[in-house]
Amino acid sequence: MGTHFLYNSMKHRLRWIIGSGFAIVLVMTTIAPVYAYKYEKQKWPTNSAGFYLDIAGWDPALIQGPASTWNNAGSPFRFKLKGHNVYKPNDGYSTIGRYTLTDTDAIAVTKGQPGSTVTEIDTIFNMKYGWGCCAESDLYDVRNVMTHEFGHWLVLGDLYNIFTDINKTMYGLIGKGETKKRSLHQDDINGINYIY
Amino acid sequence: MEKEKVYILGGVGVLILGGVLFFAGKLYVMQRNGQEIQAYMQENVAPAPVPEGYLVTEMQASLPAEATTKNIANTANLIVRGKVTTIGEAYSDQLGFVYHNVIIQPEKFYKNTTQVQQNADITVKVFGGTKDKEIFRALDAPRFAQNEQVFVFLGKGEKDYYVTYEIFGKLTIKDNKVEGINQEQGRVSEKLSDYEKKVVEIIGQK
Repeated sequence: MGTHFLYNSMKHRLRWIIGSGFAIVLVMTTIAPVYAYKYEKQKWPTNSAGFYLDIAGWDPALIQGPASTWNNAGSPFRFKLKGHNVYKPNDGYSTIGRYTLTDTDAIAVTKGQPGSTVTEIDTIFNMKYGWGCCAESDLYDVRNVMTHEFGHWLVLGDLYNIFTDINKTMYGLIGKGETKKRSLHQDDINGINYIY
Repeated sequence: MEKEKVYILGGVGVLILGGVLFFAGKLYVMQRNGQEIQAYMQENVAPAPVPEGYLVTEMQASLPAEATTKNIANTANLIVRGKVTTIGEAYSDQLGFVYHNVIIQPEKFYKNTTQVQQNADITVKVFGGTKDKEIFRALDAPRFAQNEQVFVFLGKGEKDYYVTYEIFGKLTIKDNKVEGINQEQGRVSEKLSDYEKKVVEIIGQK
């Protein structure tokens, strides 16, 4: 009789323990606010951005693919390929180029002038690293990185929360062979739709 | 028999609770680290007022994944503790990137694959600076201050050194504590001796 009571009591406690455990997980993981996306507070004057390529030897589709990914994110904003341009800083042409940056570990960099409106943004792929098209495990994937960089063109900022952001296109750290940034996370989609 | 059930059920309960707490702890740490990194980055790039007539260029760098102490230490050619003696004027390269040089007087080397002489100053090329009415702001670049005591992980560039993993590769030493960020801890605030020991162990493992 006593043992039976103990058994039932233990079962009750087990339920309580599991319930409490899940409650702890919930509290611990939602205890502080997190960014869904990070918007840098400026935008293109119209709902489009033309881009030029300086990527001799690379298939333009590697850049056009990521442009289409953002173009199909449900906002009226459109990236448009304008043609070829030899990259020059601050020349008025937003250009995607490939150059060797020996004095940084950055895989790619995007730079532009903030202000109330964006007029020019350029992206440079760092040729210090090996680049691939097809998820090669020892190379950085061009489409993966370009989808992220186009996020910067839209003035979305880098996110660094490994817990909440790692599957988002705008997560700021990029692995070799990684392709998950090619597809937009719902928060990335919400980001572009909020801005434009 | 009933008694055995009680023990088994009790044991299972303890194991489940332990597992759940362990899992919750891991998630909490990951979440907290991410938020601390994000906050540190925001502080690092807090924009100063822009004088009239100046152009601001902002740059965001995509960095290699896993900015952990282990990866940063293994990537670096030079790991050194020292004092910032000079922060140079900004200059630009042909691609339009603006840099400035930081001179570090080394006090202790932990890794020195490029055979830098113990007393030689180290020139570190860092993104960012103001040149010809252009303020070039690199959001992920480390910031240095005159006379700052630093613990830095450096890579060999074309001529000088650069900070590996940008902002993740530079830590400040204050009150015998090392302060900065990394991916496994989020915000680092650790006794210098403990941090040194950790770095030496990582290098030794390779």
